[in-house]
Amino acid sequence: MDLIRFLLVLGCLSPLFILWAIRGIGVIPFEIYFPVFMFFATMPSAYLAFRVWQAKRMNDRKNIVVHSVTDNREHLLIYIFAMLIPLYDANVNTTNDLFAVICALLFVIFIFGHMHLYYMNFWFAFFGYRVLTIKADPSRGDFSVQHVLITRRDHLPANLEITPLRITDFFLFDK
Amino acid sequence: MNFDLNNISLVTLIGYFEGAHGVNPRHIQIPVSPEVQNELKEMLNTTSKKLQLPASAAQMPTFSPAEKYESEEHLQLPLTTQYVSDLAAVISLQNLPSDANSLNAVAELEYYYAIFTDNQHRKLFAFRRASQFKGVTKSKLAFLNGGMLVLLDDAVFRLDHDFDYLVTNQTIFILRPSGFEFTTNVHGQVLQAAAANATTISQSIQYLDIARITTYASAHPRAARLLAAIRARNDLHLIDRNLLQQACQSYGVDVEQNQTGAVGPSVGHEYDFLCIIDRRAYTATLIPNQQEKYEAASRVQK
Repeated sequence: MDLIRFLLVLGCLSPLFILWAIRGIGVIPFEIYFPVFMFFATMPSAYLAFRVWQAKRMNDRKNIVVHSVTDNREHLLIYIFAMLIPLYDANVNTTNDLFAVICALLFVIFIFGHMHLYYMNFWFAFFGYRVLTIKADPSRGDFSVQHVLITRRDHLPANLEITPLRITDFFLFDK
Repeated sequence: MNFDLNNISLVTLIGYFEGAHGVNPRHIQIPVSPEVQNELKEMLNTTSKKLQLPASAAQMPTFSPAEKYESEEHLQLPLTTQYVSDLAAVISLQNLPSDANSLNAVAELEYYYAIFTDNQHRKLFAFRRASQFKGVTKSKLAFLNGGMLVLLDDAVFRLDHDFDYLVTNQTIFILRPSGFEFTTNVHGQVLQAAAANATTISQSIQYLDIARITTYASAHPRAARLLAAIRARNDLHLIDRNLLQQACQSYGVDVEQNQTGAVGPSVGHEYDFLCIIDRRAYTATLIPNQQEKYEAASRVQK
């Protein structure tokens, strides 16, 4: 997994880090866990904002034609209930618990990165962005591929041509 | 020209890769920095200056697949031409993948093209064959690093000075016919379309026995290219049967008449017969009693 995907996955976990920063982790003193969790909660999103700024400055864009679109809101719900809450509820009373939670977190990071599920960033929803999957054009065979677009638009009509910023090869930002 | 060369808002670069024997063909966007985008714009400017675009767009001669061209020419061809359907399919591709690491397989790069978008959202595609490019990437490249020459291990991409041809939404402007023919597989498509072209020609020249020509051209690329060139002519219906037969006789091409009265070349004379129809066969008698026969690889009507 490359650095940007790793950071984007960490960005998806920022609500968890905020909750852990507030609640604390039993075996780690406040002076350590609070700055570490706040760093993990803010740094990936700050990097994402930097990447958007950089892509805009570099005019790093893709030509995309909208054929069919699906809204990924339900992914956010699945993400919250299936991943965020169980990890938050994990009791960390011993060092072994801590290592188990770190391992679980690493598994989640790897799977999210591997499956390109790094677009479920809480801050997108907070700032009114929608996460849409633009399907590949089936008439173009294997040449056309699927993309995920972060956009504020309410509606993307079929055959609309857009030139969003390229955050990763798969993940685009409509600006 | 239907594109504003002075107001380009976006430049993207696509590489076409394929493995040996055409396996795993793929069009992949290669992300490029603003400096490379500017260089691609410069390549476009150089190409359009060489082609004298947009001023010369209306006067350019039309590309013919049977013609032998110089390395650089000023030609145009409508994008709707039958034998460039592969190219039309390429420029209609959408939502391509992007991957800078695709250049790790640079040996599989067949050609690259830049897509320019102007401020009215119109597109212009500029293609370049990657043959010289590959030669450079195969050689040992080195660069100065801290006062010492060190070998370059990373994948490299060689930008050229200009493009082989440009494509707008209606027209192809060709600077290098060889690059155009290679990247668009014109010859393969012309061979594939030989039978269809022969049928179309026979609809305009109704006294023509097309069966033998079809069989011959389907197996001979040069004859297939002649058929494609003949099909593009708009004066076929004006060809007089007697004048055609006289021209054949004068050039030594044997013609036969079938049961329905249609005329066609005898076996072994198919290619020369097509040359006569495409005005490529001519004779010269400058030495007494010695008629010389020639075939024009390239010709200009005076």
